[in-house]
Amino acid sequence: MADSADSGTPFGDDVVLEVPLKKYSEFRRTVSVFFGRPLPVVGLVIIAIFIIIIIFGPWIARYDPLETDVMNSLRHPSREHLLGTDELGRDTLSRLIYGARTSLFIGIVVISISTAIGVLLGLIAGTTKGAKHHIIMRITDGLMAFPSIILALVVAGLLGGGLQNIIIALTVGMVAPIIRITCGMALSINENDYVLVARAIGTSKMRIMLSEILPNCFAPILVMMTMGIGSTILAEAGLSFLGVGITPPTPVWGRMVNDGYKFLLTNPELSMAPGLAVMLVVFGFNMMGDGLRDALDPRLRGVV
Amino acid sequence: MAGYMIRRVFMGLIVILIVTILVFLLIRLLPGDPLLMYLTQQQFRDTLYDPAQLAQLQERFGLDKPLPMQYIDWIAGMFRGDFGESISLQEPVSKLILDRLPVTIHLSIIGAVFATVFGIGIGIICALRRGTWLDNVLTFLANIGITIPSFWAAIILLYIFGLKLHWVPIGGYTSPFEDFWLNTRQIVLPVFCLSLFGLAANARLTRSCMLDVIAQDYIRTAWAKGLKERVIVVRHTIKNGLIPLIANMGFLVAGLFGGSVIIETLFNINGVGRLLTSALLGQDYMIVQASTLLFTALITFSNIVVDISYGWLDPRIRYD
Repeated sequence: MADSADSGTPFGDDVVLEVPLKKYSEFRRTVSVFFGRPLPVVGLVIIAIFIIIIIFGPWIARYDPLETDVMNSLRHPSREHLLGTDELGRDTLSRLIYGARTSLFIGIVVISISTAIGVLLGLIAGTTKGAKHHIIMRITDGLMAFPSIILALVVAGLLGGGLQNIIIALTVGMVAPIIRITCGMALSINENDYVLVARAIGTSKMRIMLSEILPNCFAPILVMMTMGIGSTILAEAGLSFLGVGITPPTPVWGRMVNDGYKFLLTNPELSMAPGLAVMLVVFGFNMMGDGLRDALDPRLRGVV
Repeated sequence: MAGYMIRRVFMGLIVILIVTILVFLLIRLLPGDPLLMYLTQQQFRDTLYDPAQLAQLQERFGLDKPLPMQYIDWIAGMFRGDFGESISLQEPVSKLILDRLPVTIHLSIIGAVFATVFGIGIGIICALRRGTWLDNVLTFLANIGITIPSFWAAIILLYIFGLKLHWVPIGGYTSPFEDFWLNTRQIVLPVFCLSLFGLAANARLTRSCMLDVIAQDYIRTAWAKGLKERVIVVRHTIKNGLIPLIANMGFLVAGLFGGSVIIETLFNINGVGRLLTSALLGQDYMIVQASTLLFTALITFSNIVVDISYGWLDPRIRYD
């Protein structure tokens, strides 16, 4: 950042380009801002650890998460069972490790689907006027009036449990804010001169949407996806805590908290450990999202 | 301003109309026949059911009509105060909900006040003491607050204050008019857990909005004019920095109602959230329909209030 004095001018990027010899790498700046602060790095490390655990789960876990051993039920943490066992004698640590797979899988799938749908609808609503815009945005307003946990709860409760239904339910709960943010972005980008130029030289609407507006929405969408994985995992934990979720005996963190709740007085670790796992993962994604937002924020260009 | 208000209220009404359609379609179009479930529960021994009995029940609950007619019946019924009858509890839904609504509202209002006062307070302290250890600690706690699953926070607090220290009862709800002190002890933990997310989110938002304002030219001008620090902070920074917070109030309300589903279930509080959860698990869709609609209508209403006060505070908003 040797030429930060130049790029700090209020005249924007044109001035930066006048500094001839030094190539201004936006990517390098983003990376250095992201890694220049402690919390995003902590978030990244937490997520990296969880991904390692997910990939190498079967080798790390010492027990089968589904294997019951009634003789050894409700054991306290020991050398054999680092976090003890639950009422059916299943090893808590192994269940936690396998639970990470379900949680992260759901988080990533739900966010991918809802981003795809939400960005598409948001772009359409943001670049068209009239009926299309109003229909999409009013339905979005309607969906936004539901607390997402209640919407997901109702859909999941009526569809019944199971992985596929939980994914559908959480997607329904996540898609509206994505539509709204994308639409807002698209509306403001639409006002820019380069979009006007594109329109003037006869670029098709579709092309403007995909190659002018979409790339400029990229940063906020990326931040939203990162944060969204965290909130999806949180919502999924809430659903499975309430008993509307992945069907047992598949280990999921929310249900583990609920199952252990009965034994809070004798075996508090049974519900403490999975809750802590949820918290760590969500914290990781939130901090990474925060870091990405700061690193990708164009207003901070040249300042940091 | 009057035009703006009318526009907002009108849009709010449209949103409520859309919400009723969404709730209705959501519940009718998803699979699962509650009447069938009810019948099989009743005649548990021989899982066969009598088709004639099913038809009779369908007629009684008006489920044999085409969908648009059912929708119109439902809406018309609501205007008469008739929200249908619970299939499993055999009681009018309006009575079930009205009995429980004050509880949920009570918790939500206290939670909203708590989250607003403490959230904004913490955010202001952080912004004014930016970079100090106090800011770092509080910001870190706020980051934990938006992360922690509410049910898990509840369980930990219950374990410490309920089971170990015996300071608070581990659940239940007594009317504050009956026993104010017991009520206070009962709702301390639920209210804290309900508002934790909102409090932390408010603190984070306040901090960043305040920092945005502090960087503005007019704050520098105020310093250059030689105004006192107190005047700059109170009159220029806080007043302008808190405007975006108003817009966030709608989310706060939504979060409180959403959280009530989990927290009321966990603390054994007989509110609408718990009613909704148990109705879902029991596939009692008249209750699900009515309580979901109630929540969304209350949220939409608070959004209208928020929008109007936002437009009143920030005149630029009125001309969109």
